[in-house]
Amino acid sequence: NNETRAPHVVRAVPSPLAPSAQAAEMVTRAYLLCYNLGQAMGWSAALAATLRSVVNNAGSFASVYADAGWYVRAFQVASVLEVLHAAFRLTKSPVSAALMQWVGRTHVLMAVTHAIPELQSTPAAGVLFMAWALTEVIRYPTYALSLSCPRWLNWLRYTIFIPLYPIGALSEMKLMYDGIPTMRANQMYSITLPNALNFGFDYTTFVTMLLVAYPFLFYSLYAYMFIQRKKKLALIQTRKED
Amino acid sequence: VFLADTRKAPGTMKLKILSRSGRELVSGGLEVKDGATTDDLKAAFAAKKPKYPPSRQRFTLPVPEGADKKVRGVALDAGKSLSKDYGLQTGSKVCFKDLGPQVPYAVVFLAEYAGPLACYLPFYFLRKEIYGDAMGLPGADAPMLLVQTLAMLFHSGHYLKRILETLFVHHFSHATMPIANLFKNCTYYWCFAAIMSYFINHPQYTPVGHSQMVAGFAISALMQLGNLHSHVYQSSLRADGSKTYKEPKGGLFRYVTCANYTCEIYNWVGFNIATQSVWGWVFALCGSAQMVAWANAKHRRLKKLFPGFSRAFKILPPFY
Repeated sequence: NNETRAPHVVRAVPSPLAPSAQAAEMVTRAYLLCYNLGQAMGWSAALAATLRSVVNNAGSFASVYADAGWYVRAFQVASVLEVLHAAFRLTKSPVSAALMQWVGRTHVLMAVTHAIPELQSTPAAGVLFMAWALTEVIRYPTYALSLSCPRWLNWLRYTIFIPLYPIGALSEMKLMYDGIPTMRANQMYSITLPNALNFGFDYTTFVTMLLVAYPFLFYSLYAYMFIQRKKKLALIQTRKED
Repeated sequence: VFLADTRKAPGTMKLKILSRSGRELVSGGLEVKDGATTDDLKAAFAAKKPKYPPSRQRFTLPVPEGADKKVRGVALDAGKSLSKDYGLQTGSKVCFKDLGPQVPYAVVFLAEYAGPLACYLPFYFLRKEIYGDAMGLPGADAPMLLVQTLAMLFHSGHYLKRILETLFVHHFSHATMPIANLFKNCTYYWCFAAIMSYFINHPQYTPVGHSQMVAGFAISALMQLGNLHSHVYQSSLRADGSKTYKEPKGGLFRYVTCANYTCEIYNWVGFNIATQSVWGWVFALCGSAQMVAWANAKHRRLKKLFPGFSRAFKILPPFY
């Protein structure tokens, strides 16, 4: 869940900066605005495709991956840019948090679900797309609007994670768990001995350990989100009172 | 008129103990003697609030009004007089921070270092059971190669040395560290010991040439001795029982700020040259990265404490 890091808020007030620095500031702001708007549109398309798929299939999630998959893959992989934004200090997020976030989601999406076709028609895949799309369709507009973000949207952003986060995490775990037999049978992404570097990597073991670690990772991020929620919603409240 | 605050015994002062958010933690203030030290303050606070033993307490002077959010208040150090060193008197405010549950340094180190022994040795001594019976791999009952036996001896010897140093050599600056460190450090040491051991003792392990193996273990042995020598020297700086920092000047410390880390890093380099496994190198890299960070901090601290301090290298001759 990308909620865990500092918001994609562009730096607020340009205090007396040299003209060249001011120009750079404006270019950064314009670029980030375009990026956030682009992502907002992409995930809106993904959400629309997801909803349309569920409705057209009388409530079944089995076609969601087929119908919305292109949008989700494109825009999730493209969000690697956020890691670069953090690395080049265009935004205030810590690079490590942005990277972990992106790697976690993209791993489940590309390395697991996209690579194992049998997983794509499972409810877990469809539900996961729904959860991601709902979150992003709220998050990116709050970044794009930054200081002009309306109070209700901000509230939504910091409240909707409460159900969506566990749903997303459970879906991710289900997908990995269901994929294990295929991973084991095909020795996916694994390197075996013997070799001169005495290096072995068993992807199935890696995923199994990841599944054990997931509840702990989830718990710490979820708790952090509640702390952020308290801070951000209180901030809006006091701003309103001012 | 509420007189509680002004009532106090003569020769004492009443300090206002505040939390980070400004809430008063001890109603009416905490009473300490005029000549009290930081340690006395901590003892008094612990008496009032037994949940916070002294090792868990950190007191700082309040940050001045309007200062930048990132500025941290001046910490009250052990052994210093509250009135003379920090100018505190009745009514003065101090901020309290809970450092969280603490565990003694020695406990952490012993757990960290005993674990790797328990994690490494089974793959060597129970090779047939683990690789053969449990995993069904061929060749699990073949005799161990010389390099595998030496690796086991060097790895175990290293951690035994660390345990003995923790018990008999080191003098720690702080008594405790946060308990989270215990879990973090143990996970790191134990997991890497197990992973390295798994691949080195594997029936399909590919050994390097004989000369490379000898060279690697020779470097490792030499560096372990160097590391021991550095630790004994560092320990001698605190032979008087004090916990303050002294400038290390003897032995390799004449040329390298953190000669002990140097020897540790090159010890693992030697080990990996001899055993050649990717996970072994990853372990050496992770440890080195952490030690470089520590070396930078140590170098900065020594520069601040001892004006004019400089050394040819910080941690890794001939590179850095």
